[in-house]
Amino acid sequence: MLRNLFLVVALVAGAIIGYFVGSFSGGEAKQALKMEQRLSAEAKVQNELAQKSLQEKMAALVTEHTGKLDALSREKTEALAQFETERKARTAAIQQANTAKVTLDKRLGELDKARRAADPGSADRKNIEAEMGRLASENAALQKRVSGLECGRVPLPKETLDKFSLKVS
Amino acid sequence: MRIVQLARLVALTSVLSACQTTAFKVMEADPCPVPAQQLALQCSLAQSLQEGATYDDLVALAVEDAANLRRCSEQARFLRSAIEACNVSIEKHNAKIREINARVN
Repeated sequence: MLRNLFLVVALVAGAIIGYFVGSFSGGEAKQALKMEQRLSAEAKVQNELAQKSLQEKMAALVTEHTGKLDALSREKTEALAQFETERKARTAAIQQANTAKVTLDKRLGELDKARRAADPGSADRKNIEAEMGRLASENAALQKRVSGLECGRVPLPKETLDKFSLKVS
Repeated sequence: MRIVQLARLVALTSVLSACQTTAFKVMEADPCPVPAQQLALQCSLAQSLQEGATYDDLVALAVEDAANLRRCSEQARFLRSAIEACNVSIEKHNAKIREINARVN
């Protein structure tokens, strides 16, 4: 019984000594824990600030992106509408060019008659020939314009479609 | 005798509790907050022409494809900017973690 009492006393004494001795290291651990808690709180605040900043940055990027996409959509719609308008207006342009060409051909015919009637080597004939040359260039340019205007209606060659895989498969 | 056993157990528990360590919890990096709607956007595929298509159709196709390409380019630019912004944020986060780790150790 006495032995057990001694043991209990020894244990209690050990516990008391352990408490005080351990309190030093325990104190350090508590201090470290406090520091970690402080750092953790600080890190959390920093992280929240960083996340908020990133979300603001992302929101700005999305706004800018959405704006650009809207502008590009409008540009596309306008470009296609302009092309459609130009395509419709082309018929009138072809008619105008053809009318101008008929007038030019007629004028060239008249000048050719006048050239034949003029004396060879005369200044009059040279002037007529110069005018005919100018009108011929104008006529060639008109012809090119008409060809270009009419080209849009021409079907693409099968070879082109096949070669460049432009066909719907 | 039971008291002694209990006392021994209490002492042992005290000793064991000394083995417990406090661990600093490293915070996870937050995800890159790119909206799902923007991530889901895809570039339009190049279109094709029907048999018998005219040069006008080819020009219209070119106008449309060019517009789609510009849109695709803008989408790529946005995603690149978003990734760059996230990378900057992650780098800042990591720098903070490194700083805290250095202070803890």
